Amino acid sequence: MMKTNRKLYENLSAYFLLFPDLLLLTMFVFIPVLGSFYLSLHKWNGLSQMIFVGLGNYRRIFRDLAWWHSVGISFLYTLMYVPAVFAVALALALLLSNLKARIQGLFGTLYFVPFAVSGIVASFIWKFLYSPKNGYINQALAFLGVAPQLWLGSTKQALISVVIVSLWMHVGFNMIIFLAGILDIPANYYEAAEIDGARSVTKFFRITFPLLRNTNIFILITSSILSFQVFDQVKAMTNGGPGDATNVSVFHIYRQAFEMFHFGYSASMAFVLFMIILVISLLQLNVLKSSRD
Amino acid sequence: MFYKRTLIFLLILSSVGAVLYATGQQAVSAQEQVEVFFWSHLGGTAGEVLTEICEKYSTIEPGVTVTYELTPRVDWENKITTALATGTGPDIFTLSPGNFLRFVNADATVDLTPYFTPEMESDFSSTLYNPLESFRSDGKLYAIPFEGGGIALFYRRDMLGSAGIEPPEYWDELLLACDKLTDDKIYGISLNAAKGSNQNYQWYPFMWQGGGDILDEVNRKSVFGSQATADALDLWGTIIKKGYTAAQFPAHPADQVLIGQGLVAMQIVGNWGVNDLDEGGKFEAASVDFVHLPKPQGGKYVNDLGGNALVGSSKSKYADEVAKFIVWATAEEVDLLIRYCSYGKYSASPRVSVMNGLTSVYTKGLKKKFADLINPAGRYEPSLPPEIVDIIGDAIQNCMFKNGKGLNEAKKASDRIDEFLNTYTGAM
Amino acid sequence: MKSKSVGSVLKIAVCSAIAVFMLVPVVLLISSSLKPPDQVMNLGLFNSPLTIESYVTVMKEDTFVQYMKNSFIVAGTVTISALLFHAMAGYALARLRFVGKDAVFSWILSTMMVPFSVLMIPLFVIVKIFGLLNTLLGVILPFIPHAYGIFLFRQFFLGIPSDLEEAATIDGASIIGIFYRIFLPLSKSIMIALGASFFIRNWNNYLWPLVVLRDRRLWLIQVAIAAYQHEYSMDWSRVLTACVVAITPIVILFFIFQNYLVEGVKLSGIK
Repeated sequence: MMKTNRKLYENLSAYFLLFPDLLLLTMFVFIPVLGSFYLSLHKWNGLSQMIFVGLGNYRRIFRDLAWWHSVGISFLYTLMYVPAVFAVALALALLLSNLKARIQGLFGTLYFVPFAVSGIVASFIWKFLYSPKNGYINQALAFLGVAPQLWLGSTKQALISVVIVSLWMHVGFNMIIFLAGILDIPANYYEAAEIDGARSVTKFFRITFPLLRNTNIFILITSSILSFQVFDQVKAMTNGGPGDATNVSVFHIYRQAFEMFHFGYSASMAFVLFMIILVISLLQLNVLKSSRD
Repeated sequence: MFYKRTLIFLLILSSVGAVLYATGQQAVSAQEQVEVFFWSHLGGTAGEVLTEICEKYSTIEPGVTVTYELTPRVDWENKITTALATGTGPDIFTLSPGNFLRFVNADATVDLTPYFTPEMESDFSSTLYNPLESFRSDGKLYAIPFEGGGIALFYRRDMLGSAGIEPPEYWDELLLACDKLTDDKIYGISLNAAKGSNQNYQWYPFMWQGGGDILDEVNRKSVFGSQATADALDLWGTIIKKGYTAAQFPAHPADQVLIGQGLVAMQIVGNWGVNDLDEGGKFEAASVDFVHLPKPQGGKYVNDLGGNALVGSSKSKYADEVAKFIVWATAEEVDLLIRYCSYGKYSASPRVSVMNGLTSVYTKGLKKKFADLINPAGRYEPSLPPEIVDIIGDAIQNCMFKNGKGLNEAKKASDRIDEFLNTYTGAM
Repeated sequence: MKSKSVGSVLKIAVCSAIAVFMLVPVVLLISSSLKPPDQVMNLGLFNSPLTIESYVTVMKEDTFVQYMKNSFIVAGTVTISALLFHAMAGYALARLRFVGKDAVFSWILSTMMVPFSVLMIPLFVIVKIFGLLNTLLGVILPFIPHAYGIFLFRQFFLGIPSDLEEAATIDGASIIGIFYRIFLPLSKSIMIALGASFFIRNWNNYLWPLVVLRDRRLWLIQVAIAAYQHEYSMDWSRVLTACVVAITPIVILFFIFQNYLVEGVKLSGIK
């Protein structure tokens, strides 16, 4: 009797606590998603009547080379960005972890400033920096004796140039999360290891990294999901170009909707993208769960 | 008995009278205040003058208030599309020829033909391509342009002077000039390398000047796969591959700040940049002049005129008032349009009366030269379905960044256009 | 002892070098905003005369203060509500057992996977139905729920040992009481970090306010900055200046809170 009461109590409390977010998510995210799905079953240009086409849009996507190319670009972007942001943020957090709290706070703030700048403004500034003839980056390279690069103007370098800007923007915040996680690890774990004669590298791999599990999962999954949705920097810096070198999926979807006015088709692409991200996230969660044992 | 009937009769009479009187009053005050909304992305001084036009209209039609609302240019398409798609759109808005077709195809615009008199039509200039044609469909008029402007090759006198080059007239001269002027500090030329309707807009004259074109509208098929097209594609390909221009500039490739501050020696700029580059403008120290866009040997000079038109939304509650305002503002009003085309945003007007007013305003400098040289003859930007714009954009991008060969890409694009036209049932 | 301080100095040196990399773009922004309008593209750092004329223009003529006020209202409201709601949800997902827990979590996570441009039109219709078009509330409400925050709180709460809860339950505390008195205070560091992130994200929010708001007096900062961009040309000095003005309050807030930004939680010795 006590047990079922307790269970009921726990269930009710849980849903009470979840209620505001669930309500808002339903109203302002889930229902629009359903609306989008409904839209994806139609052909619509925003002005005329919607024409029902069932799964016609989805069938069209299979043969759409430009779409799959954009998916490839998104994958490439994610593969470049996620490991980089993870590694750099973690490295910086480790670097700061042994310093005084005030210094940690100072650098944490300084590294966070780029995020305050907003994707659009950051893109303005970085276009200056990336200018092939007068930009600071090429000037710095010239100083080191390296030939000037095209950066955003090169089909080969444009994507990584965008990745660098995203890194610049997001490393600070991810570092702070890592740092919070690292500082949570009780000092006596390390003391015990030191007594056993462990070196820094061992300490990291045996203590720090495993104990950062929750943080690692969080950073990995959120970075992946968000990197698949990069948009502001692409729109402001490269417009998908040169050619289609930076035409990531979300940008392709946006163009289909607001330049070609194929709203239904664009919505169906968004769902296909959603499925792709979902599968990847579930894979990540599974792989990480099983490695617990 | 008699008095009773009379009394009743009088009562009925007076109540009828009272009712008539009351409804009569209502009829007079029922000339309600009509408010219509006018959206555009034209801000700054241009927006100022448009607001003045709206205010002047209220003095002519006291019952109607036209409220001007500005949306930033950057996401104008987003905003207007979302608003119209959800029924919260404006009554009146600005439109360019490139966007026109999709509105017509969706019956989303108010038919202005009944309000547009032959007298008004005669005031519209009939140059090579009548500007009103871009906004007609099936013989009906759906939008009326109020500004227009072309593009030219602007150049820095100092940079060309010290390199000993004359401003180029032909394509080979252009390439030579770019070669001499590009060094490790500046680019020879700036043109739009990013795919989109603006890139197409800059590129069309190069194809037209060789005698090429896009569509045979009568027979609804593509004529894009020509040598003229191929040559124009190859020209742009060469310019980027040889490094004469950058794929990305810190500013928009047609932003006059690039030439004004000497990041490029030559730039394709249009009427919007003239105020800044002329004497008395922000960049007068840069000493900039211009010539026609260079043409191929044996080619004929053609310009691409763009410009906004006013259009009414068919979903508006006040279609009649909207149409009246549009026709008044674009086809009747003269003084404020002169002010728009000079102070608001330096541009040409498709109307003879306004142009006459402008030539007395522009008596010197770049403004006069532009008015004399560029404005008069040109072709209005074609109204094409977005799919065709996209196909042409692909051709240009392939030649610029993917080793495409002009003739191949031209033929490929032409086939794609024909394929699209087979399933396209809309207006041309 | 000595090697430790050399190590520290080395670390600080590396961190400073990286800080320079982080800040060069921002310094460039500031220095460009201080240039006269016709020299804005001169890329040198301090090679043009300094002038604050564009600051005067932006703040006074363009009533930028109004836009900052709007941004502040939006960012502040979203941040406070979001922090509270996400902490609640994260706690439930981390520490309680209930029916449908995994499904709810997956569902929440999946809401992060749909790009905004796709949601925009249906969301617009919903906001219109609620009568919130052209209001700040219409900008605020859709941006409170975000899976990112819920996920972060959940991960953080997962890492807290259960002794605290057990002790409190034995003492007769309610679940909500435990949340409010124990877990919420513990999450201070996460709250500051997440709060900063939410605040910035909403302070700089651009596309949604642009689409929802019509009244110019309700504009947020980034919308106002975008209005300086015309069809081809941009009012460069105003844009750059406005950008600097937009960042300044945030940086000030940072420096006030920076000491709390990375506060570690000392869990040893709780027993």
